[in-house]
Amino acid sequence: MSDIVCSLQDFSLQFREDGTWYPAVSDLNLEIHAGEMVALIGESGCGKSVTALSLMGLWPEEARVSGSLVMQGENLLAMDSRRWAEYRGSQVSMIFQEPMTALNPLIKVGKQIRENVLVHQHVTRREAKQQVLGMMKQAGLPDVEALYHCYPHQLSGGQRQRIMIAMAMINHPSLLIADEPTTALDVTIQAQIMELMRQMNRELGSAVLLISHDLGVVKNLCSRAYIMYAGHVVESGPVAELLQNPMHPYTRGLVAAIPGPHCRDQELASIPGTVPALNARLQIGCGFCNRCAWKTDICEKETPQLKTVGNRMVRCHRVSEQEHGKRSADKGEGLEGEGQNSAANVSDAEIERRCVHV
Amino acid sequence: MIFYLKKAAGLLVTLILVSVITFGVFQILPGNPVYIILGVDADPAQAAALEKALGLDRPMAERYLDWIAGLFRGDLGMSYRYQQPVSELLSSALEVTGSLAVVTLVLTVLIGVPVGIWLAGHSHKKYSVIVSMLSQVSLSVPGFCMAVFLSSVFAVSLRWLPSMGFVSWSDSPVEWLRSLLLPSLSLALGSSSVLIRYVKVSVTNQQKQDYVRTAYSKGLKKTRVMYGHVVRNSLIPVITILGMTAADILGGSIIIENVFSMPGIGRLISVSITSRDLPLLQGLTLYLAVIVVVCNFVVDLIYSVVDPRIRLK
Repeated sequence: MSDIVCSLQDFSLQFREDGTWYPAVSDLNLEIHAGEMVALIGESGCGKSVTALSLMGLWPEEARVSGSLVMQGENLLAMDSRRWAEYRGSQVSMIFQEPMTALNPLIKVGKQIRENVLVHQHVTRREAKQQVLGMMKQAGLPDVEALYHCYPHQLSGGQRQRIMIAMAMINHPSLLIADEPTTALDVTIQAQIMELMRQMNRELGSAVLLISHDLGVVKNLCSRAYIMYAGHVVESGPVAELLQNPMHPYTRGLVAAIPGPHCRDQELASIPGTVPALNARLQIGCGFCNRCAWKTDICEKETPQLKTVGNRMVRCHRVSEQEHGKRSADKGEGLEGEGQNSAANVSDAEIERRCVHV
Repeated sequence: MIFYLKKAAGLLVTLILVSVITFGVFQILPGNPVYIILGVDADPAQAAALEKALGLDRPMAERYLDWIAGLFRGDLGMSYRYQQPVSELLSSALEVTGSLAVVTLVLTVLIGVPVGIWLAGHSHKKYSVIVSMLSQVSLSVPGFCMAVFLSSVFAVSLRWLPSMGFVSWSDSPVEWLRSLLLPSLSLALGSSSVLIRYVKVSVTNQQKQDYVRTAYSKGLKKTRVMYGHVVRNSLIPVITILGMTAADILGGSIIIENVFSMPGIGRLISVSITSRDLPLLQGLTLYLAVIVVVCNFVVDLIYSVVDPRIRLK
């Protein structure tokens, strides 16, 4: 494998409430290699956004972090505020879910991108502007000279997200973090923005950490994915394998929830229940067990550890059993509900069909 | 461009309405000005002659147009009491009150904006409570108390500054400023306390916005985020308060001008009312209305410069 750009080891982030610390992210291990596109998947509240913000040093003030965050060999948790400022926007950049609010409404978009150049490079304003115009072109924006002088409200949602991407990429960071970059956009624009990120990844060689709640969206983009649930990584591995043969019951639910032509006239599959609130999470036992159809006694008594299965990792007490007798026992043991049953073993063609919207 | 034309047209219409209302109010007021000039037991023949001389026997519309035509020539009639043109009285009073307004606004901004920003950044610290309390005190103490207090400390005891009067800028800029400092400070302490609260709330709200996170993620340092992004976006309420303060002071601070014996608009208002000087009062009323309208217009223009989104609406 190529060299590692970013690695998180036993990374934990806790919030304090009424005198008790509650973990929002626990013992997270994650690695991103140079030039790789990796996905971090999970539903709202699973801890994926705070993990991303932590890589930018922007975790909430009231939170406590521990473990190790290493970026290009440098320990992030040992950096002072001056070093953080040098690091942000040059080594690692981030784009956000809602490009309208993420841009300053009162400053011309060109200047907002230029600011990023001027902070990190010793160039004149004129040279910086030329760089900005070049990057705006590369981000697929038309008529860049005119757009440079526009305010965010004068642009469309897709254009605004392209501006955000141009802003993030202008200093050629080693890692781009994209926190649900297409959630606020039209479906047609979503595909364009995803394509743009892949293009940026190829042309500039930046690794990408793509955060999403939709496994289908990342299928064609990312090589590997980490599935998070309630602060834990529950499964990780190559995206194609995760989609084809999801092992963790939560991943199965996610795969089943990808809409596609097969869902016509059917109710969309969903996982019953919601992620428990921070202070309602069990300190012992599997975090998913209150929503899991495979739950047994051990799930409540013992916290499952990540187990290596082939080239994947999975956090489930029952995975080895299930692996063992997978083909035969699946009908009886599988999750309830039509969509979920059919998700357990699906053909490549079926996955392809489900992901057509990407 | 269309935005500015629309705004200017709006201003014109408002001004015409203001002039009609001002004129109308003084027509329907009870009491004949002739008898105010001559006394209630004047000879009716004499009264009729004066009525003709003042042109009060002509139709109202005609007199209104006359009055408007006079306005354009800068002629607002003669003051009964001073026997001077109203326009001259107004312009000399405006020099005083205008100077007072300028210095007060500058002091208000110099006190209000930095303290407001500081409070927004230190609201969780204990010592910020003391600053909040001080601004609360200066807000609740009436202006004239503040004026008397400041005057007795800085003018009477320390003798640093004059306690009364006004020196024109053209005579001596230094003395001009010295003569204005105490009255301006008495006004500015109150208005800056209001401004502090607005700035604090506005900055606190802006700091929670998503674009601030973006600014940090670009690698900007805290001060740069504050002054390059947050403060500018917090300006809208600041401009509103300043516009209101400006209109307020330009409209004459009757009490402060009296305490410091400044011959400004406020003094003129109190004199014109006590002496029933109708032409002067009419001129002042028009002036006050115009000041409010113009201040609002200027505030609108500044809004549109600060926030480009406003031009769209």
